[in-house]
Amino acid sequence: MSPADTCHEVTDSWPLVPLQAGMLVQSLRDEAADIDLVQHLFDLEGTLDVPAFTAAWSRAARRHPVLRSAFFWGHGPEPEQRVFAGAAVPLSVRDWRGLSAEAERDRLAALLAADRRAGIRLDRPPPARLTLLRTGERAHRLLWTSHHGLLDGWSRTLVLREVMEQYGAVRAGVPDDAVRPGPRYGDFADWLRGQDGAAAKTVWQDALAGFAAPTRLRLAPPATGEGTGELVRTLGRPQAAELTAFARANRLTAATVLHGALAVVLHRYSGSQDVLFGSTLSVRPPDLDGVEDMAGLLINTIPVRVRVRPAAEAAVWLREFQDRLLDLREHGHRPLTELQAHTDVPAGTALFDTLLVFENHPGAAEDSWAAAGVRMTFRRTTGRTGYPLTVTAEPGDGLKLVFEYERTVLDDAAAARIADSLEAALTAMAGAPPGLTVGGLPVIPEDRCAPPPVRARPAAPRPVHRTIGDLAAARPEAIAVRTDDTSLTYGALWARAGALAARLRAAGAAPEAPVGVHVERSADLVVAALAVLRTGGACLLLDRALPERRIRFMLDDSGARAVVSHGEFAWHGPVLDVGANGSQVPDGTDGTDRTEVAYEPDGPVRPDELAYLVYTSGSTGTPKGVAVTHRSLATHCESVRAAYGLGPDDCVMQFASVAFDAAVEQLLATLAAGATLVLRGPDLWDPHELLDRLRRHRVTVMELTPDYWYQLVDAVAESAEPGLGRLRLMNVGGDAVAPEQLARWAAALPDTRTVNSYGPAEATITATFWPYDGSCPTPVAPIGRPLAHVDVHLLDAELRPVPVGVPGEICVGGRAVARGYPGRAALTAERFVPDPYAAEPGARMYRTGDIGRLLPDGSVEFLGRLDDQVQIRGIRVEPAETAAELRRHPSVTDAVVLPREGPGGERVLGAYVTPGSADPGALRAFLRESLPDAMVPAFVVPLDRMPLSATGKLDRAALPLPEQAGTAAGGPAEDTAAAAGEGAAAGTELERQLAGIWARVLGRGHVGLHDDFFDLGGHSLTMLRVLALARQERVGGLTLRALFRHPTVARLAAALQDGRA
Amino acid sequence: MTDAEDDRQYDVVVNDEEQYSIWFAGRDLPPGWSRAGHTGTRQDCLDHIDRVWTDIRPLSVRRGLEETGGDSAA
Repeated sequence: MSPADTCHEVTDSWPLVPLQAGMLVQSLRDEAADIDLVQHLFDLEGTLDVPAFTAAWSRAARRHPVLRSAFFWGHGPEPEQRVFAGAAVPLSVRDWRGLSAEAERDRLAALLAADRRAGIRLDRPPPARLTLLRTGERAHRLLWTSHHGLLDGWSRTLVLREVMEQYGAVRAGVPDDAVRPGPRYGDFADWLRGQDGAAAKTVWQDALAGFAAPTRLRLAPPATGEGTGELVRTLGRPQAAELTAFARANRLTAATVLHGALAVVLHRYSGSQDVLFGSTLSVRPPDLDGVEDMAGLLINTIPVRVRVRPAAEAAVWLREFQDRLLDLREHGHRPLTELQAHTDVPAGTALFDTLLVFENHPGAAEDSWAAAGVRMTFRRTTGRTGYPLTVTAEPGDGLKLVFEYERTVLDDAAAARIADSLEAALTAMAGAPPGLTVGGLPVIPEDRCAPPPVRARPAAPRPVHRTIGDLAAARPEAIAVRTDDTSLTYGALWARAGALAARLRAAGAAPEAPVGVHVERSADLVVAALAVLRTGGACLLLDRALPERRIRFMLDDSGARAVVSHGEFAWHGPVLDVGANGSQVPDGTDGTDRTEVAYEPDGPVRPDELAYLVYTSGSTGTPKGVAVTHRSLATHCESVRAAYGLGPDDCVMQFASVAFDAAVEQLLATLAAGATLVLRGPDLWDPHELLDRLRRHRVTVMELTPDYWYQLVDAVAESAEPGLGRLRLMNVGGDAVAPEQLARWAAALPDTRTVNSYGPAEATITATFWPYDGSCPTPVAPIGRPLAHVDVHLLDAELRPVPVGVPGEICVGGRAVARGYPGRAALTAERFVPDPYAAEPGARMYRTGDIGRLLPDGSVEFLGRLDDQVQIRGIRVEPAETAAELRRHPSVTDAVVLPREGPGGERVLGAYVTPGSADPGALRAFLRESLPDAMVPAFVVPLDRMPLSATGKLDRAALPLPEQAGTAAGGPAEDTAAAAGEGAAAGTELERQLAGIWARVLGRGHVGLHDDFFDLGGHSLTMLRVLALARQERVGGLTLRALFRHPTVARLAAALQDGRA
Repeated sequence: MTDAEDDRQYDVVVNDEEQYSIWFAGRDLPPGWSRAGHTGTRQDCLDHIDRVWTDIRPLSVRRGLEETGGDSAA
């Protein structure tokens, strides 16, 4: 596009250097006007001669041709920079005299914002402007706005020096023709094009080969801001001096230390040991005449890939890194698009999120210039690179670190944490004792990394059954257990449990010995469980719905001493038959049971002896027993009592299968609090029956799995009768909880609080819980904070804390930690490991294998299972991360991502989303914008609802493959058609036109309808050619943005036709 | 870290309750733990533990049961 004022004569031109072309592409692609717009602010003291100052800038533009240039594209084969004879940097003057300091500050902020919004056009000579603010008789401020593609930092100093020198000359009456033309930037552009890339290619290939997973800064919760933010941190002079001394002592440059520190920080924030960030360096080839005095963009951005080795000594690792960095810098002039092609990151995907700019060029510290009684002093620079995070380091008085970040990616708090971490890493290096390892650098402030427990720790209480005994003695007539047709007082419960305990002891029950409880859901079940505890033995609750073979396996595997059962149950060990409906459970009052005379019911109990065993499914398919002590159980019951406010007025519904450890909590925490336990009968109730019982039994507290609870929410909505009686607390746990359901429930039942709870059996039932307060910060409800006696840590593979917002393994320490898996020593040793964060020596913590992240409010978000990590095309990916990203899309209510088998037997990711109306193609395009290729699922299947198993968990086996789903899953089916060629030929006129343009630009005979532009070798510069050709062929509405978003001919054509481009 | 590709070295470690576990070789041990004298890959260490740790009950529990003449079977 020609400038309107074509009166300017073009005196020189050269093709844009790749970095400029990249900036041009970015400025055309992004809607934000201020990408790469740089604002410098200066103070001018002294009596300023404004016409002379304007003339000085004109003269400076004469000396430095780039100040008279503009960028042109879409005409010739390549975009170019053209120099115009009479162009000058426009200067406007505003009179701001007489303003208060405050008013001036406000007006300046408004001016800077308006100036950014106005943007800057690269095709008008020059993409720069000056605004002079007269703030006093002898005081001015100067705003110099320019596009970064014009000048680098070094060149800015050259220009400023020239301006002030010329100001002096103008004032002194030196004639205009004395200005010597300076070095021509075009010579640098020519030099760059003349470089042989062969040597560089080997070095870069070696450095970048196999890199596939860009180091992303995606923290939870997702940032929701807009625009940019800026943070400044300054390492004081003593710290900076220490850092210099450390560098010198280890023969390191300051640049190496800074790059290394950033690599370590990114490693901790990404969880990857293979990190990559961009680094901007000066490219001033010494063999180019006048290069020292050349103004222009003589820098380049290179990808710095670092392998972080946590076990290596920091100084040694930094020296190795320095050697590699020096090699790379030697070949640092190659274009980024060319370098990215050496990686496995496709051209349409950003190679890095973080850019480091180390301003260590000569003149960087020069910030004041004077001439003819006027002193110009540099104040500050603001700019926007468009990268999620740009760190600019400015050495000088100390070390100044400027963090400029995109608020759409990082919120202010997250950026501040990253800034803290970089500062901490640098400070730690400066004071590093010899031998300090990379992994040992204190990058993450530890006090921010563990979720704080809900309340103060409880003291070690009495064993649970003793507490229940105390209550039975104090209030024997209080109701302990109620079913639809019976009830049992605390007194009767205690007495009958005592009688049964005596029989159990006669049968061999003893401390540490498990006793099975294979009793129908009834008051007898509670009697039997309490009886086992009274003997001192370990209670093993068995669900009568399970096959008897499985029951016998658990009895044998645990080494059970006896089993309490009724009916026809066969086992080789002692079976105590309590008869149907408890007919054979002695009530302990008539004195007819002789065993009571021979055996005391109560056995000795020590806190570290077993209270119960619970079987959980193992990854190998064999269930494994988890052994929990009295200390853990009693402390847990006390924590739960305090957390849920349980007391004698409460009535707690026990609903789940007794095979889950939640049943132990429901039974025993309830009774230990003196509350009434309501048991459902042997048959499952439908939601309406449950509603009826909740009202009839005046239940105050209950727990359900999410799936069943959703049905109850529906039933509540349909119920004619308002309210749920006395229900005050609904605990929903065991699986992901949808926030919309929480909101629906809260709207219908404002007096019933809901909490989401989480906990593995190995950490004694509930470990964390999250009370819903009307809003939810994450796509599914967080699992919240730990109970009082529980420590929760989010740790990386090195068992170090991960930063806030970063995924880590959920590890549980404290009183909650189970003893382990009896008979499985290796598995116990693997999962129960030394707890480096415990106050108590010798403590262990349990590695759950669950992935979560800490939210800024101190609660934890659950993300998935560690075991779910899979290798896709050799790259390690976390399907849960893809699922979390999918849930960010406004059209998606739920998402599951799983490894699946592709058409050729290879492993691919498959995604399942609700609702059924979601658009698979749009979702894949959405993911492509933020995730590495390997993390983008091969297909997306929309479902009306997720299939669930009988226990209310996701039924993975029932998820259909795309062909079974019978939908256009936006995946392999489309791609296969494209590969077939014929079926994929362009149909409409627009498609034919676009395919033709692509084929020409990409140098291919044929482009299929569904071929991906980037897969065919397209990159951002070839996109410019597509745009130029499209313009010639009069294809309306095509933009770079549209090309990025819709990278196939079919989708692009559709978008253009719908006007979505 | 449950992965087979974890090729780093581990130490077999034990605490005062004679509970065994594994820890990164060469890394400082948390207080209350000591090295049991076996170093190797993760699997190698776990196999060793499977051989030597025949009763996962803590030492104090085993001693307590002996004192009271309680049952020692698990």
